[in-house]
Amino acid sequence: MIIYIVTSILDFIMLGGLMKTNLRRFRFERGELSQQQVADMVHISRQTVVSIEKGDYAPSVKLALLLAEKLETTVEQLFILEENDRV
Amino acid sequence: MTVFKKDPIFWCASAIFVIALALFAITNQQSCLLLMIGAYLLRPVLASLGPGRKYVDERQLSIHYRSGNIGFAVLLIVCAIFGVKLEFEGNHTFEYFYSAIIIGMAAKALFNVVLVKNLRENASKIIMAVGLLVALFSILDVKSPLGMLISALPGLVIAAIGMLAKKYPRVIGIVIVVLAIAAMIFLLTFRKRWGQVITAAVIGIPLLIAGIGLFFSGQNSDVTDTAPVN
Repeated sequence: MIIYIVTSILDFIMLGGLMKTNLRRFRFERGELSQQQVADMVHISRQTVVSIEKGDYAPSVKLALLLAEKLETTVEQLFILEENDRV
Repeated sequence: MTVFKKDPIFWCASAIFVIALALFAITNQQSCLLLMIGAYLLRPVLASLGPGRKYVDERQLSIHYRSGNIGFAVLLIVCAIFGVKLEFEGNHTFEYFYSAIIIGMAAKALFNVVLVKNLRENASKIIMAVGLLVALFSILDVKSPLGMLISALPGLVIAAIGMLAKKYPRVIGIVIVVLAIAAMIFLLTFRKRWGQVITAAVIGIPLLIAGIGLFFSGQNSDVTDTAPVN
């Protein structure tokens, strides 16, 4: 039980999923789309788009591919793998 | 800006909430308000199980999982504190809190294994774990080595059956289902103490799930841990 509690606390502290992205730039380049419009395109909430743009949330492969497809770009251009991501 | 998403889950949860309030108003029993837990947990539970998946996006689902884990940890701590407090006071209701901890952790462990979706492999693990658990608890009160061996034998037999499960899934599946039902009937018929009900649940339910899983995994003989084909 103690191990479970400790891992839960660690999980809470280490909020994973930080990811640099060009989503905001692509959103403006594709006709100044609003966050809500992008969210509706891929059936997610606006808050999730906000979190992705801020780099607080790393989307799944499926969502990344969907976003890239809707914004007529590639996942590699939309999301940037930084040096500390490789560690 | 809308605070609540007005989807079918919202309306179902609202209905449960209103029913809870109405029942409380009619009966004046505070326990009726416990129904509100259902309203609160409806969205994450339906999203986790599948039917409500389309109403929750992946980030929200991930938040539900993480907050659920943290909430569960808090619940365990609170149960442990209350249990220890009551035990020191000599109040035997502490067993309820310890039972809640055991059932919660057993359910989590069981779902951790089941959700991996390799029924044959996992059913075998569940059976062996239950067998070893039974063997371990059987020897706790026994002093002599021979007595320990005899007491541990039923648990060790279950564990051994678990080892054979991958090879003969259908046969072992049937054997385990029969064993689980027999164990539950035995525990619930002859000893009706609260602890026996918990034991029946912790031993019987995982075995039953493992047995049914094994039986159906035996119908298709695909082996999942083979090397990829180029």
